[in-house]
Amino acid sequence: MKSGPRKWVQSTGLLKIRSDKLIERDLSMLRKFKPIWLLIMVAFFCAACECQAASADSDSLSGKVSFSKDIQPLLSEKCVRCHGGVRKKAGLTFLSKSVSMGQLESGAFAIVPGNLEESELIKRIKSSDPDEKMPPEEDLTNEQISLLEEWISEGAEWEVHWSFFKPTESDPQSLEIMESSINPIDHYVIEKLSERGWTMSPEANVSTLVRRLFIDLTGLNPSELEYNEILNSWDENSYEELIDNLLSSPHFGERWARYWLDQARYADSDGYEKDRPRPNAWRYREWVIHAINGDMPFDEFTRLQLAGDIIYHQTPDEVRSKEMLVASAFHRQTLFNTEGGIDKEEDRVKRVVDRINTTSQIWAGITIECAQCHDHPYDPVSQKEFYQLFAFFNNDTEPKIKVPVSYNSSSQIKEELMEADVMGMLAHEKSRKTYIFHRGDFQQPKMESGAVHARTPQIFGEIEDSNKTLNRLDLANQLLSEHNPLTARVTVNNVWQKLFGRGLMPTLDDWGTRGVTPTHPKLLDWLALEFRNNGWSRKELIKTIMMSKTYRQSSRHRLELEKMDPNNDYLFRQNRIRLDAELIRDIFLQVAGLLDRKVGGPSVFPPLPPDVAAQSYANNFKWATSKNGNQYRRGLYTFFKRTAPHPNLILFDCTDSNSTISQRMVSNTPLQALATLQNQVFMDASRNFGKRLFERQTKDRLSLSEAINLGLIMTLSRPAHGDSETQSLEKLFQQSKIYYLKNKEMAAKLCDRLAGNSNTDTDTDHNVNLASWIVVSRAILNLDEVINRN
Amino acid sequence: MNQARQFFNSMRPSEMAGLVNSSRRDFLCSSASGAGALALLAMMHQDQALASSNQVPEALTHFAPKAKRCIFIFMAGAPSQIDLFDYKPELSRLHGKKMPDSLLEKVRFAFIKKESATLMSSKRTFKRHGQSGMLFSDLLPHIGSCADDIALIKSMHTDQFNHHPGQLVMQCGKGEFGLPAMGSWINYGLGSENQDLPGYVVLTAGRGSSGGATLWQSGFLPSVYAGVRFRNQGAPVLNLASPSGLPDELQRQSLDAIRSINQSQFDLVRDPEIQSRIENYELAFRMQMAAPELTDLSDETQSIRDLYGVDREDIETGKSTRGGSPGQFKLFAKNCLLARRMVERGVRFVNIIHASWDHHSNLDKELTYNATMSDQPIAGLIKDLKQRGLLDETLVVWGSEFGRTPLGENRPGRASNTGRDHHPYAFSMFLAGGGIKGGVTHGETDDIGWNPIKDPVHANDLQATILHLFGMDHEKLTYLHRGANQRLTTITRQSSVIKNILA
Repeated sequence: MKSGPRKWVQSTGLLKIRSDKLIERDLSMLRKFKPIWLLIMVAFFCAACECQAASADSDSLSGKVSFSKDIQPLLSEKCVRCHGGVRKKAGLTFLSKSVSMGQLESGAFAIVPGNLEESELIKRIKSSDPDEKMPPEEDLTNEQISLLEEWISEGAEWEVHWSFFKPTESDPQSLEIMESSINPIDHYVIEKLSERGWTMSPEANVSTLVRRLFIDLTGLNPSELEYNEILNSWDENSYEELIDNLLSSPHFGERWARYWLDQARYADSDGYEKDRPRPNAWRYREWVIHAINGDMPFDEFTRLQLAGDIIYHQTPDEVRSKEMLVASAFHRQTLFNTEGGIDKEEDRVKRVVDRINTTSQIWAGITIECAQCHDHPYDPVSQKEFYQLFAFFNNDTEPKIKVPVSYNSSSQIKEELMEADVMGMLAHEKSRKTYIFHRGDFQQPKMESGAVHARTPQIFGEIEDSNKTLNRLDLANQLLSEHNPLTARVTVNNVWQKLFGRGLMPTLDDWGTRGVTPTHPKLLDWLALEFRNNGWSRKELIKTIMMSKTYRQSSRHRLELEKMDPNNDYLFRQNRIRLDAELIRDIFLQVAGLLDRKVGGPSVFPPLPPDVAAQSYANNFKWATSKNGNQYRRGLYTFFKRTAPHPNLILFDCTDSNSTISQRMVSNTPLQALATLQNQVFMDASRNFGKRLFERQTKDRLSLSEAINLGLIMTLSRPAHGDSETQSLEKLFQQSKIYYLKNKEMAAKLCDRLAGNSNTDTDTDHNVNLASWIVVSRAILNLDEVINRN
Repeated sequence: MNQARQFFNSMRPSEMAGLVNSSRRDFLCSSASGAGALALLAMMHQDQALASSNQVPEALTHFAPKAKRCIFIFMAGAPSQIDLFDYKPELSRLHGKKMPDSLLEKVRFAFIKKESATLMSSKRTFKRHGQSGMLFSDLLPHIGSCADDIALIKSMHTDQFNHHPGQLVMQCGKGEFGLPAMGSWINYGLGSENQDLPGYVVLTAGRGSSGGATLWQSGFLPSVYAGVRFRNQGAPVLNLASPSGLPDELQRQSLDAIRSINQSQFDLVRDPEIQSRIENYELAFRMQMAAPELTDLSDETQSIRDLYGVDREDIETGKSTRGGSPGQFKLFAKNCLLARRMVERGVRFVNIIHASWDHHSNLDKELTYNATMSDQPIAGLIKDLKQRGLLDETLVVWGSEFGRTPLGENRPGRASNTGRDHHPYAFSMFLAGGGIKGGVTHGETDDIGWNPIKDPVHANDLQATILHLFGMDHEKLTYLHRGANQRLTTITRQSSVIKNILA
């Protein structure tokens, strides 16, 4: 790990300082319609508000109308339905500059730069003749009309959408900000904040930071021991040391693999009606965990998954070469329909389309599936380009490949004798020709237009003109090319979102013209370039972000700013993040002392109500519940059956793994409360946690409030705030005790499922105490703070 | 509230579609308001209820709604319309004959071998029912007795011919994954009427359907809109029962302790999500109290039980398990009765799913079993809703993912043709109540029931019609996801409301 906080401070002198001050954007310049809609939105959130700040963006200060910020969204909303990628009425599409400014079928010109009189567009939007007027069914507002007029008068500058430009370096603006930053991240953030007269939040307190790092890097709480050790020896270097330690924990790979598995739409079954199990799918998961633990550079990580089958034979090391094939199972994660009477070609085409969509979504942040049927309605992706991408995947076979059964320490292992069949990809030598499908229908190839050849779309960046036949390795290389404006930005943004709960680009899956304009484009570019320059190291990127002041801020809400920036776009604090489905269960089990921390291996089957498994087709699936600790493995190892996913995962917004997902939704529902209060595994955790606390109380002769305080430390990584928290729980303990003293058989029932609890009738007082501890432990585990990271 | 209405009406402001939408999404999922989407929607509804008692809130609708609630009876597997609804006397004459090649040229089958396939007549007899004289087969005498409340569509068609994709089309609008089901869309648009119960409930019987849990997911909509399956065994909702040994009073006291500490955390951190969590724990407690009352049928009279056939024994079918494990007659009837109790309590969308109707062979016996099982309870449900004055506002829909071929299925290796293959080109569905005109038969198929020859209705047209009955325009009920305004109906297809069946 070469980066550290000091490096940035030292290097400030080398950076060029620009003296010209920012001109505060005159807020009255803002187009009126923006605040109107914001007002509606914000009024709804908070009844009264000041809304100007959230829409202000000081990046374009020229005062001119901006095509990408003002005009393009307007055209997208009002015009492209008929004049876009799908329909091109009168031959006009506003997706193309040359068409928009060229002569139309009618002989007219829609847009003539600098000339309002000659611009048919202006004539039409202002016309009162119903046959002429555009858009036909609604009127543009005066503000919208004058925007368009102003833009054309100013020369109709037609910029490429910002995200389709390569990231650029930008110079820091102020020495003062530089000095108060730990690293450039802070610089960009403080710059934006101070433009509004805002400041960062103070650093979160140490115990919050410790739990934040543990959760973000490993998905687990610090143990009581770790917590005490860390807090007792805390000094100025501890924060960085803790990051380094946790980055090298094997649980780091588990934590961050899960994000990638969401994107890879990983599951343990085929999907569709039959939804057959894929008994060796976990080997791909294993590969991802090891790759991330070993900090495999993201470029290699990309190449192996997209083209491992093409390059594997170049490696003399047989084990490594097999691993490359396992990596190529990335694109075998698609659904596979084995329903009776299926049209195999139709399903094959569906898989190819899914691979294109997934690839484009993950690496370019663009949804291009609509280009399957027609040119993209909003973004510059043609239908032809879609099928040129199709051609990269059109000649794959999907064989089973033999891999060694164990490859635990990455490339260093001895190959064992046993082998397993793993789904892999193989590029086929014989070329199936690719045609554009009319309206996306595989039964209607447009033979008359001729075959299309593999080629990357324009939005993946410039390519060299050559007649070479391209394969998936070329595709991977183009995604990683420095000419590609998207991959590095999209990837750093995904990482950022995991660490802040919200992306710098909030629409993670839409970087096109309909996506949000980010508040910190320069920071995004800086991170993208930094990521690339640091050899695509994921760990280093994470560490850089974590070292920043921005990341270390308290997550407490600041009411005066929330109103102006309800999404915290300007990063005036950290965000509280609800934990992912798997982690909620992991932490319950960890606190209860039940979690089996074994890393890797086949999927496991934690208890599932039989009627849930029976929901899959014709009750064809037997869920054989795991035993011997395997029922308490971490959530990411739970067998994922696509048509009957585990309810404890789905309830907390786990992906359905049918298509690629970059960001899970976060919901907050009553069914979640029911699960953590009464679902079997969560109750098992409450029981065992109760037992743990009861035993500690007895062994260490703790008072009730001391024992409760210990319980809070174990779950929340902090002692009680004042007396009121412990008092509420003490009261609950007393209430429980009174009840169970009167109803000893109920106490026995509550303790019943507890392993190793042999005290039945002989020692009922024991049960009364134990049951009361279980009630209290259950309440502690159900605190909001347990399933959130501050 | 006007601005809020517009906000929820989901009509995009041009200028800031992206920003508004992303906030809306965040808002719905995680409630920047401090109330939570569910609570917020409920709040709006309460507000509305005060203003105009018992009306579907106009706030969220695009025009006057007829339906407030829907019971969608989904017969997974594709029942044979030829043997239930679409009477084809010509087929009897052509029994055993080959199909004209012109019809076979472009079609695909799951199992039929085209070269030797022959037409297969129906063994059923058909009878006219009601004033309208609507035709039903002898397998559906009870449903026939509701003919004048029913609009029967004989010209349904879809674009998928395998079960799972086909079921997704009918439930979610397209044969793709990750999309919200119709029940999710409607709840997203209108919210729940009952705060103590979920707005979208699923009741299952039979064996597992091809689509499994993918048929009631919320897709890209927040999971608060996902269907909640009520169970046939144990607690009616998963995790609803308190652990054994934990009485209600300690449950209440536990929630009080949790609440007080969460409240102090909120006072410190001011994250509105904490308030939502507090609300949700209360809601969970109320659901715990409300759901057992809902599923307890002891306050139903014997005559109501008999109307639905709750106490019927299964009929003898031999060894087949197509219809699921024993006791299906009771279970299906109970689900129909539960559906009524749910809509009575304001559950917005109830999806009764029964699998399987996939009769590739042994059609006569299997279809007789399934039809006999479901005929009386469904008719009972329609009549019961009607006598309680609920039918006007409750839309009942009966249907499946596609239909079955007029051809006998000649799968290689089979001694005789006793079943029918998948047929997406023409099939039948029916609707009743909730703004539907009774006694209407809409659409026609050709002499052998192969293709619609009049008023074809695509699955998406039906969905557009259902949303219309709820007062929503299927082109305007949208949600921004992956750069596009997604909706229930396919964007590239022009779908239209079936005006002919509207009251």
